[in-house]
Amino acid sequence: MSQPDSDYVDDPTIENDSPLWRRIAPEQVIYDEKLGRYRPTSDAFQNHRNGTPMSVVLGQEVLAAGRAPESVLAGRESFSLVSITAGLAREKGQGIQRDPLPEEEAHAEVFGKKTKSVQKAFYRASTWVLPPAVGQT
Amino acid sequence: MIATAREGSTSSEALWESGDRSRSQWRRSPQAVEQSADIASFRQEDAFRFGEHVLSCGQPFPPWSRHLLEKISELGDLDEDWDSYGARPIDPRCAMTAAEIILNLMDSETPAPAIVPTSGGGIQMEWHRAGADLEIEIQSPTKVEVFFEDERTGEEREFPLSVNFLPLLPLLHRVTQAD
Repeated sequence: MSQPDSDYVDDPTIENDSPLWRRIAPEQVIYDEKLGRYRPTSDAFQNHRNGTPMSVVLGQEVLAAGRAPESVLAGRESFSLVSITAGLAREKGQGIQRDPLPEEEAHAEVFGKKTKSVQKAFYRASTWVLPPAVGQT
Repeated sequence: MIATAREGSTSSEALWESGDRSRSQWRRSPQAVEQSADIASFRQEDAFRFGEHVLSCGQPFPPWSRHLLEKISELGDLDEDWDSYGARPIDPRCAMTAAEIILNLMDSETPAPAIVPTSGGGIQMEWHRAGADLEIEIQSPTKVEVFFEDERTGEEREFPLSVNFLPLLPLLHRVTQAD
């Protein structure tokens, strides 16, 4: 169910250099002539269509739990994994709130309006944790 | 004239106000207009199909457009939750709108866009050239979000379109010219 952003609180214990990981489907990967590399499409950084914020996984918590990044893609081996920082999200007017799920303890939500401009900042700064098979860059 | 129709119907839903395909006269009609086109009469090579929807202009599509239409067709294979975050399957009406934009606003000189699905069941066409970025996100047949940025001039625009898609023409021209 959708909640107004005012119901979400930015968690200061998630430091600005904390990596936020997001799964990317094969169909969401394009080659960007300007950047000279494969990257996620802008729509890959969007809130859920039901109005809830964009899901991410706190990368540091995954690693601290002794898990490999691949565990975030369990059952979706054709997907790739991309990372942006919490600091970038905040710089673009977003907040990050922990939201542990039974199937993913490190789950968190990035709340705030994601205009095309914000999405562009995210894809430009994004780095591959697990790159897509199409472009090992 | 390009006409779209739902298979099983006896008439097409005309989406084009202009009878010819002159780009300068192109305008999308908000209302379906009865046409005499018969779906069964569409030849396979003249028709673009997505689910139950069919688009035809009564003659073969231009060669440069075919791989773009094929790319749109491939998106019809996406199931519910294809992105693992609850994405919807592609809305056939968005696929038709994407095909109509390609066939009515682009030509052989226009660089091929990346054609990608969106999590809301829409389709996005993207150009990222040396000088400019253009993204056209089709959220529904009457709701299109446009983002354009020219880093050489610092120009950045983000705006919606609903019925009249003519404002896309100068932007397509600029990504064509960008090098």
